Amino acid sequence: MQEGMDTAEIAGTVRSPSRRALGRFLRNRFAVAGFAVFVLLVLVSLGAPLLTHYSANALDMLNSSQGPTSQHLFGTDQIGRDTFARTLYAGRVSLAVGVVATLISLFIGTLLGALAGFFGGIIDLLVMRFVDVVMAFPAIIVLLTLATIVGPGLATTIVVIGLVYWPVPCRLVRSKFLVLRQREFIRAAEAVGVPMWRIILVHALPNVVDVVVVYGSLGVANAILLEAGLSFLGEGIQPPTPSWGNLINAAQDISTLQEYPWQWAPAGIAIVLTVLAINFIGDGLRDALDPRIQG
Amino acid sequence: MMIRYITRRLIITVPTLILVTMLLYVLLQFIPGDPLDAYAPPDAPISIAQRIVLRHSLGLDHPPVVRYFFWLRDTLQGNLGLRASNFQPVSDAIANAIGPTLILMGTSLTIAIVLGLVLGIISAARRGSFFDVFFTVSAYLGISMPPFWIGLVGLYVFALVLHWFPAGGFDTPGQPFALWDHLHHLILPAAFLSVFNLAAIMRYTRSALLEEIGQDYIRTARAKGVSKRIVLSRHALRNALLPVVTVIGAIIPSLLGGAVFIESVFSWPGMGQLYLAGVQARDYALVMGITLVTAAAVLLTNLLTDIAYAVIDPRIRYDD
Repeated sequence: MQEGMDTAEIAGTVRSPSRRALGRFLRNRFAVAGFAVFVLLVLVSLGAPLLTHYSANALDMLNSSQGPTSQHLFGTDQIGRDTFARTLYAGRVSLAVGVVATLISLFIGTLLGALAGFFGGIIDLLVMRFVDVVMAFPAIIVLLTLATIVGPGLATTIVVIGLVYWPVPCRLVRSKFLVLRQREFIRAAEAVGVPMWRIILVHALPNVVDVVVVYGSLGVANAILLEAGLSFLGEGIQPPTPSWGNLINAAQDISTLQEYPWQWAPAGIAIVLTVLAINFIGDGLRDALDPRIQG
Repeated sequence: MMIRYITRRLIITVPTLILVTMLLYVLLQFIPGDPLDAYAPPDAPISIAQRIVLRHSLGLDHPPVVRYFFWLRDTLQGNLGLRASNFQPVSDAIANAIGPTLILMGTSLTIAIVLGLVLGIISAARRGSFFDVFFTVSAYLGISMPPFWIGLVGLYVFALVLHWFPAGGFDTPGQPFALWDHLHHLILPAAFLSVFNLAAIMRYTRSALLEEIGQDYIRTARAKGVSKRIVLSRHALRNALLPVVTVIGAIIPSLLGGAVFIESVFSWPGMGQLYLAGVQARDYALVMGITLVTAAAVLLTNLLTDIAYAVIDPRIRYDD
């Protein structure tokens, strides 16, 4: 859409860029649908106690490996735990791991990217070589190797995923800072003696928010996939704490895979729905924040 | 110019590889326990004096920095240490497993590239059609599914419910070599390993082609009376497909990562399964050896795709 044709501008009210970006986002049907599904998934996970009276870990050996009934919507697992309740509570863990791990990688990536892009020279060289090194490994291999050494668990899973994904935001922020560094408003701030940390935080950083937001949303999707993979292999979130990944771990047993699909299928569908929703949101945000790039 | 570009890329790759070995070596230091335990467990019936001799002969009595160079020398000579489980050389285990993995990855990459390009081109050419909408939404689904999930669903549907394919393995045990048997075992894992990359290549091809179709030179060619088909296949496609080479380089890591899961789900006897066995048994020499080989493979493919891209695209700037 052309700027000059914006009806609001013709009417004389000039909307801020963020308002216009919001408008573009809301006109993207896929993005809005993705957002709605994501909000629904978060609400369902958080509201788990309201939706089921079963707890995630209550055993009921008399009713193990049941099919779906009105009592147990998704049936029960091999030791009689309610699969519906476990899937809901697992959502809390999987979503939290995805968000917190992404925040860690955004923090590290933005910090290193800003320093590398702003100061250049030897700092830039070192940071970028470090980025190359980390990116030389397939993410899941680094995760498994680190988990082997540190030992699996909730905290390890979050930190390790956070440590793997920072190179992507780092590169994006760095390339933005390289350009910002030369802009007049930054040089003017330098010339009048604004301290370096203030220039970076107050003047330059707000200009990379769009990049960080877009990456952040897609990063959450990646982090959820990584957590699921790690837990599926038994090296991530450890039972009895449920996560979508370790619920699917039950399917590694060929008879469970064949006879009891309701024990592993709901968690997988939950992962696919979540990641799909987040990908729609992320692409919508990218198109809304940078109208020049068409998806 | 070209030679200078390739030399410069090589000069960047070698230090990165050295940094990779340093990072791995630092990680090795975090492994709990004494490295001597891998050769002589604490309960082994040998005296303290024998331990000191063994420690010296293995070079373990040197400071860590010196041992890094020992380790690097051994690694460069292909000596990646011994497996904790059976004391076989790690390099032998990797050599045995690399063949099946290359077969799986090669087949999967071929499927992903061929189908990804074809579907992407048709989608872009018929933008907005039912075909386009269907495959664009499917591609979204394809990049949103974890590899183990799609592998499990594939195994469940095609092997356990429909019985069209065997439920995993490299061939039927106890039977003489038969090409058909191998293909029969290969189809499911290769197809499901390719899904993510097929979707990624399709999405990339579609958007690159659409962007190219919007360019002025395409409109000029159309205005001069060149048919839509010719403009698409001769003009737009050539320019749109050049960057696909770099995309193929970029998906090698995801292919390697996906292979870990797909090999696990389909009991495919490759590097991924070997690696997972190492992870589960806490066999550090094996895990580190495979991690190193993987990183070297990724760096090498990055180098090759960069060079290939520079060779086929005359517009590339060598001074970058």
